[in-house]
Amino acid sequence: MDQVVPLLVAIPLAGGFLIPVIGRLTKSHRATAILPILMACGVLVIAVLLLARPDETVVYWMGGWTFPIGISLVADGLSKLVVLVIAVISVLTLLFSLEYMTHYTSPGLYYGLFMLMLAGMIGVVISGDIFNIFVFLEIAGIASYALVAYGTESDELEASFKYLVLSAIASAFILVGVAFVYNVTGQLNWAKIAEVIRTGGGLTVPLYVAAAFFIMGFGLKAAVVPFHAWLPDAHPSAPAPISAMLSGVLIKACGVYVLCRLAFSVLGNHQTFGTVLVVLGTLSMVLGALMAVGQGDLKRLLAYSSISQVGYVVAAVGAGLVGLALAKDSKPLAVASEFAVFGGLFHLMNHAVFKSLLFLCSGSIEQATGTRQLDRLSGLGRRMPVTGWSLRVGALAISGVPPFGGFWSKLIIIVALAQLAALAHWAFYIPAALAVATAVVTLVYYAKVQRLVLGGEPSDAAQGAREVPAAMCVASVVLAVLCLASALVILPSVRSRLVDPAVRVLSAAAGPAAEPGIAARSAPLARRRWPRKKGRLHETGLVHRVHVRLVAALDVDAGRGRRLRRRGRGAAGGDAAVAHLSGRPAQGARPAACVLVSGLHPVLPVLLRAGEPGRRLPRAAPRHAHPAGHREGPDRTDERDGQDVSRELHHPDARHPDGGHRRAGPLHPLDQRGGRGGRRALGSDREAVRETAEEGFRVTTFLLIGAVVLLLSAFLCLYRIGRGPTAPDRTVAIDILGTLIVGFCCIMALWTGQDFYMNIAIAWALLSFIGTIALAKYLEGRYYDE
Amino acid sequence: MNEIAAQILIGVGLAFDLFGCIGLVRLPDVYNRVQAATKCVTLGTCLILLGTAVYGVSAPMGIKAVLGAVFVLLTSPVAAHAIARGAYKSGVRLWEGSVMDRYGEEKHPSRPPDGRTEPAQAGEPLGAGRELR
Repeated sequence: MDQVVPLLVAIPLAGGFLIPVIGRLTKSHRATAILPILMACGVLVIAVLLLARPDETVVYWMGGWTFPIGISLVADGLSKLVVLVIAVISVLTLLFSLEYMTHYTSPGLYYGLFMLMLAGMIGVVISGDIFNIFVFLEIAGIASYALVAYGTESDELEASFKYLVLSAIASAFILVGVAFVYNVTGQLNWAKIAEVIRTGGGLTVPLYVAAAFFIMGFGLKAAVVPFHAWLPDAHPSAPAPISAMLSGVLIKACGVYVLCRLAFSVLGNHQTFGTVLVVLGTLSMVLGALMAVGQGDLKRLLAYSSISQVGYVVAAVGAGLVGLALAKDSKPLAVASEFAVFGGLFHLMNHAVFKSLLFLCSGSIEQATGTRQLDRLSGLGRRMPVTGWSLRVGALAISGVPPFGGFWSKLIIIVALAQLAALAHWAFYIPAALAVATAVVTLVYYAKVQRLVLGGEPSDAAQGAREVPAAMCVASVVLAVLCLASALVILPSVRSRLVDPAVRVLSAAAGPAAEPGIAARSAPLARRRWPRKKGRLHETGLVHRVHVRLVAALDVDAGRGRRLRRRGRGAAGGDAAVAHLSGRPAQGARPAACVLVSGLHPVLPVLLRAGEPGRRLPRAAPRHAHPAGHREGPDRTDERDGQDVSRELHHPDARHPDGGHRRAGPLHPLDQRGGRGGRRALGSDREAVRETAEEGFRVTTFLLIGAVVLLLSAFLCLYRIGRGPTAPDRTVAIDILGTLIVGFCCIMALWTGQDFYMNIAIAWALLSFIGTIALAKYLEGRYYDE
Repeated sequence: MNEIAAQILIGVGLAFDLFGCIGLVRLPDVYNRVQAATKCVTLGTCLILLGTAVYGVSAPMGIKAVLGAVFVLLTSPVAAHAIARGAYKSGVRLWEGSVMDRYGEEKHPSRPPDGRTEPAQAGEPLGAGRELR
């Protein structure tokens, strides 16, 4: 298996030299395009093959020379993920180029440069040492300068020159950074650098300087905000497939990926580095979106939007880094940080898909109409149905509209930031709030794009527009489907194959908070952040409860339940922790974020947990707040023997189950397990766990289906709200939507076991009623006075 | 046992909600929509609320769910009535296929009772008071 790793670079690199030759031999554009497409497919196949064993780290030493002379290629979870993204996008953009590039000359050069760029990007991603990253970065960079200037018009050359200069500055920074690192550590292989830094007692001043250089260099490559000036020129000037590659994968492979790798794996868990990333990411997120709003050129708008979306990724990853650095021994914080990293990587994938899609669509539109000025385009939805729908899907996905992957990744990022705010430092509320605001702004400018480009009567430019050739349509449609399919990553089975290994690579390198005895370890944190407040459960404590519950759930799997159970009743680990901590509400009120987070927290366990159904958290396994035994009926009455009684006598908790559990909602799986396990032989312990888990899974699935049905209904209502045709129609739909939301709150309440949702339901029903009556009265009085 | 009952209740409720919303989209005029959607969705949501209560996660949740069900049961028809009335008074036409218009008959006995012909002839919304002033 490890023999295939160098092929990832070798295939496109060979293509880079072969294809120009082929281009000389044949005049036909399509004949030239065959080989690059085949090669990209080959890379894709290898990328998929490598994912067969996602957690395995494949190390290949070039030419059999090993350390310290040899050059290593390393494919671990993170590299595999990024390589897969690169391969998928490049196959589709090449397919698009098959037709699109026919109106450019010298296809041999185009495909040759494309392949060189691909080789460079993949090389950056799988390179095991920091100097080779620089080398591959230059390969990718030089190919991309040439490709940006491919049209050789004056503005393209200008953009390319600007890109070249800034990118060369970035490369210089990176090279100086590499020199600093080599000077201090004597190593280039980053595993070794990390080792030296770890054993040598952390970062010294020269390493800080190196880190600053790296942030500047790779920040320029990734176009985060203070370093973004080149991107809005360079990306729109390139031919559409190249824009798709540049915005879709190049800035990620050469910028974000290396930043992640350096920040997590090489420099260790360093808070300052993470903070800088969060600040830069948040800045680019907000400013990119604000600058995108005013753009009149479709591709330029997309380019600014790339800055904004990459900001999301950088902010999330940086937040994860800060969290991991702070999470010395607090598992909840570590979990939240990993969640942030997961969100970042997930958004990276998503952004690659939808931004390529949008750029390809802009290419189709430009080819069909000859312009990409928004004010000259309109009515294309009818003229070009396939492109129109792909553009719609891409725009909805990037604005974060629910069924698409983009929604989930943004949601996860926002939730993770809010969690970190609750657990680590309040300042994380700032990026969280800005992320929400940016999502709204994004929706606004993509709504503008959809309205101007697709809606209305065909403009002059759009009069003659026809649908583009099949190959271009296929590429757009496949990407549009991927936009939807990427939502599947939130499913544990997909996630554990694709993204989890990458998250693990990063978080493991950044210093784990491994094996904490949960209740004990999270208590100091709780004490610090949540001063004791007597009285009933405060809703703002939810955030924390989520964590404790999660952690308790994780503990079941780790097989540590037994130890915990011995300490007390089954509840000792999980539920007691919940009860214990939930008595300590968060200081003050942070209602908005808490509602947000608690609204999401039923989703979190599903998201956070890996793999097999048996391990899934029986989130909602609803029970009476009575000992589990009562429910079970005849098959276990014979098992209720003296042992049970003695257990109850020994553990005071068990005598007042109601008191212990009222606040905690439904019994946690852990203490169900405790309740059952106590009556069974220890051998059947595991079976009981599995049984509970399966039951919980069934219930969760049921509620999930319920939520989906309600969402579907809500969409039907939204359709009616949008469609009209009269105001009363809309009012009816709004009323019905309100009632549906009440039902949705019920589902959430069952899912989470929080009766808090029922308060929302009732309040909502009341508001909806009042609102509807008011609207109806208004309608009544509109034309008529009797 | 409770769980199964609750799941059945919730399942039926979800089905009603969905059908109501399909009705909201498919039916031809606002009066049809309001009756289909309101009836189905009220019943559906009440069933979901009752199912939540029957699930018996905790006492407060159950009580709140029952209260919510009663509340929805009371308010939803009122809201629907208000909307229909508002729509009628603001002059939204009946669908051409409508067979009766009792409200219009009661209000304006002089008018011919058949709602089908009236708007077509007059070219005006059937119930619009505005034109009668």
